[in-house]
Formats: sequence, C-alpha cells, structure tokens
Amino acid sequence: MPTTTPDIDPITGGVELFRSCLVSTQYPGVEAATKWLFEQLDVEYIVNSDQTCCTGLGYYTDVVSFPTTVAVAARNACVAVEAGHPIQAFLCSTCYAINKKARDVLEEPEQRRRTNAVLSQVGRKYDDAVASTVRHHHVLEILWSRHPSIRGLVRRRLSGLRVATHPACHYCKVFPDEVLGDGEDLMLPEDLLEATGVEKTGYYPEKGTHCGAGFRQRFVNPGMSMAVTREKLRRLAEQGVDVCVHMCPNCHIQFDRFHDVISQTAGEDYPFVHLHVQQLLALALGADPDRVCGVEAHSQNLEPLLERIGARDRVSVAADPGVPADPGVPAAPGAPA
Amino acid sequence: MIGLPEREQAEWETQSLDQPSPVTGDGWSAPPERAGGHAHEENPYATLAASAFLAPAPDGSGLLQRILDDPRMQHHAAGLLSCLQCGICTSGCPAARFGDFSPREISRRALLGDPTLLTDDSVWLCCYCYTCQSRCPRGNSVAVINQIVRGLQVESGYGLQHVALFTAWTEQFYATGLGGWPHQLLDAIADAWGDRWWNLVEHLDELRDELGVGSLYPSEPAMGELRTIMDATGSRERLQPAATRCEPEP
Repeated sequence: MPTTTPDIDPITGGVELFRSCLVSTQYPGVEAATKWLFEQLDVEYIVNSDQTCCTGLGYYTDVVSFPTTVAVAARNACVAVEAGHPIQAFLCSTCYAINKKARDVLEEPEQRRRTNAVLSQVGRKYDDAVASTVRHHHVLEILWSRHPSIRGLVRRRLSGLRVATHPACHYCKVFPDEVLGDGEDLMLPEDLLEATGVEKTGYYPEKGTHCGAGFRQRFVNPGMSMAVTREKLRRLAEQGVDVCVHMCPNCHIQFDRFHDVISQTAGEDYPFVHLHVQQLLALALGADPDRVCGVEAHSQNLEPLLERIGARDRVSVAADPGVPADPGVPAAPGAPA
Repeated sequence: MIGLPEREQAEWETQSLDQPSPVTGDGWSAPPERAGGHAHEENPYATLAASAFLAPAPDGSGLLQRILDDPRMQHHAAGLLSCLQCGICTSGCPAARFGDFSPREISRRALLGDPTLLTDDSVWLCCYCYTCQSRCPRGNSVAVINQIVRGLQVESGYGLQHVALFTAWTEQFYATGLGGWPHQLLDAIADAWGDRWWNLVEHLDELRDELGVGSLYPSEPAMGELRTIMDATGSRERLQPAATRCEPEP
C-alpha cells in the first residue's frame, strides 16, 4: 500500500516538546520514546518547564471556562517564543486542538485585548510578534517531516506485523483543513511506520469513530462509553490487526486500560495490543522497551508482541549500522496466512 | 498546461473565474449576480435558511445571539444560521447512536433561541469528538454549541450538578499546575484495571526517573503565573453555587 501522506519540508526552527498531563501521568514512555526519536532524527528540541498543562481535561469536562483556557494558551505561546523554541510539538491531540483554537480566537482584536488584560497581571503580552512566530504541530508531523531518514535507522524489521490506526478526533476533526492527509482516513501513523515493513490496514469500517472516552462520558455514562469502544475493538479484530497505533493519550487510556475489561465482559476475543505510534516506531529503530518506551505503564500484556518483534532479544538492540536487517517477524500463532 | 498551443494557453491562464467563460458567454449559463450584503457573503445559503425556516425568528430569549456572539463560533456562526436540518451531524454522532441525543435537534433549538436548552440535560451526552463539525456541509458545529450551552448552564448554577464530579480537576490544577485525571475520578473505575494499574500508581515516580522525563510539575514561577491567570478569570469562583458568587466585600 503506497504512502498517501503529503511530503513536507523538515520542520525546523526550535521545537518545544509540549508536555501532556495524560502522557506524563499515564504513559511517560510516550514522551521518552518521542525524545529518543527526536534524537535519532536530529530534531533540535527543548522541554520547557515554564510551560503549563493546556487545561484540556478541565475545559472538556466543562469546569474550566474558555477565557481561562485561551489565557493559558496565550501564556504558553509567549513562553515558547521567549525560549526561542516557538514550534510547539504536541503529544496529545487535545493539546494540539486547544492551542490552535486559541490561536484563531486571539486573532480577534477584542479577544486579544481581553486576554492581554489577564496576561498583564503576569507581565506578559500576546502581541503580533508572538502570534506570527508560534507554530503548532502534532509530534507525528515533526517526525513525518524527517521520514526519509527513517529507513536507514531501522534495526528491527516489523514485516508481517499488521498495524491499524486509531485516528485522534481532536487532530482530524477540529481543524480538518490542517490535517496532514485525509482526516476521514488518516494514514499518517501507518505511513510513518512504512519503512519498518509493517503491513498497513488503511481504511476499515468505523475507522473515524471516536475512542469512546468522551471526556466526562467515561466516568458518567460508562455504558455509552464502553459500547463505542467495544464496537471499535470488534472492527479492529475483524481486520486481523496485531497492533492498533494511537496518537492521543486519552484514546490510548480508553483502549489499553479497557481492552481486557471489555473482552472479558463481552466474552469476545480481540487478539491485538495498543501502542503509541512513537513507541512502535522507536522499537523498530532499536529502542529499549522498558527504558525508552516505558511498557510497564501499560495495562495490556505486551510481552508476546515484544518477543515476536525481537525487542526482548538483546543482541538485536545494538544500534550499529553494521547489523544486518532482521528478516522480519514470524507470524503470530493462528494468524491467517 | 501541457498540450495547448501557446496562444490558447495564455488565454486560459488569464481568464478569471469571476468572468463568464467565452464558451458560455451567451448568458444562459453565466453565474447569477450575487446578492448584496456583507454578512452572508461567505455563505449564500445563510439568507435562504433564515427566510425559509426561521421567519419570524423567535429568539426572544436572546440565546441564539449569545451563541452567535461567542468567540468559539467565529468560523461556525454562518454555518449555524444556514443549518438545513440535513442530519449529517446526527448520522455520525456516537452519542446519537449509543445514547439518547440528537445534535440536529440541538442545532434547530439553538436557531430558535429555545430557552429550554438552558435546562436541557441531553447536551451533557456530547462526547466532544467533533464528528458533527468536521462533516457539516455548512460549517456548523454542534460540538461548540454544546460547549457554549453547558457553560451557560454552569454559570446559571443549573449545570453544577453535571460538573460536580469534576471540580476536583480544578483544585488539582490550581494546586499543582498539572491536569491529568484526578484520583478521585480514577479510583472509582480503576479497580477494573487490575494490579498493573495499581503498580503504575505506586511506582510512577520511579518509572519516570528510569525514563529520564524529569519532574511531573511545571516550574514554581509558571505555577505562580497559572494561579494568577486562574484567579483573574474566575476559575474557581465559577464552580461555586450561583447564590454564593460575587458577594461584595463587607
């Protein structure tokens, strides 16, 4: 399956890896794997301790008002520009969408005036210089802008591993005109993995259906939330996937933490696992599953997958260009030929 | 343009899309004059919808105008005004499919300025997945309308019952500068997640150390600025019962 994600020039000029509350507290290995990939792909970046959380979970559970969220986004933009790393790279699609929404709203003079009245109390100003300098990208876009370099860095071939994408709603649907590719059939995650030899799934029924989390719904309406997640798990199982890759930590929680719960409750087998795109890509490039990808934080048992792709085989981990390419992973027991 | 003689190519490239094509210059297929007026210039159907379905507009409550004036509607106001009730929002909505919710109805009632929206519990079923927004052929966003209506419900005090479970988020954010899901929320559901989950909770700091991802929290100066912003925008007062808000200092 050829890649369909549009090629873009390398995104350069100072990347700020925007920390995500859910990545930090639930899957810190996603952040570590992203940093590891940035280093492999020569992405110059910082993590900025003056950056605060975007308010996303508070905003989308309706306890935080929009003016608070916009002011926090404006402050974070000022901080990124001040540090000379104005390209905000988001690990979480909700951070991505919230900051872009604030960007648009802050183009309205009245909204900018009100926000600056708040920011003046902390000695900051969101002015034209900040607005024209700050940039917003999902981490996957930064990686994609370097994708020609990936092929030469592969240390564990993933050929035979069938991968499907769960597209993040807040990346695909809030700013559909700014998606890298088709928001209704996002291929960016699978195209990023192309050079590792994975078998791509492409479109499948329910591909665009959300994860089921729905922010408050996971807690307040678990029946509705789980019904959506189950439907998606069934569709992914029909496709015979080995790994469903994610690009948003809230989706990742919903699938990784509830996968086995739903399987047992529904009496259905969903024989695959969930990983972030960056984790699977880092594993293919030779990263350590524990010390780089942080697999300990996952609820699913990832050991069978890690063994299958040779990630528990210390010999193949050496990032030595002289190591010959792995012939590929064996098929899972019982997998269709 | 490949394949055209040089002269024809030059003509092709200088033709403006606004001018009648020489091929259709007889007039019958020329584009009609556009209606005057600036507001609906981006979306000519806005006028059609307003006159065909909404005359006379009964927005006696002023709710429609409040929704249209919200900054989040900046790219969706014309879309709401031109809603033709096609229902594509509802066809893709997970809360409509798995719950008792109709985004199409929300759009209709918003257009009517229906004040019962301010005490409507169904808006709390929206998952904020934005499928409605991304697929609406008019550029409307029921997801954003739901955000606005929920905010108005919280402000009036009616919606506090729906956010009571989540006020812990604001307190955690104010205290630590970190969002995430507060344990008050997760404890209730995480027993189902088993031992691996509780292992993570107990060993998160060790795992973060091993991964070299630094402190969970932003810098002290950043947390100070964040609290000032939250205070200046009334973040915590917003979650108090309406009757106890904004009491003048004695």
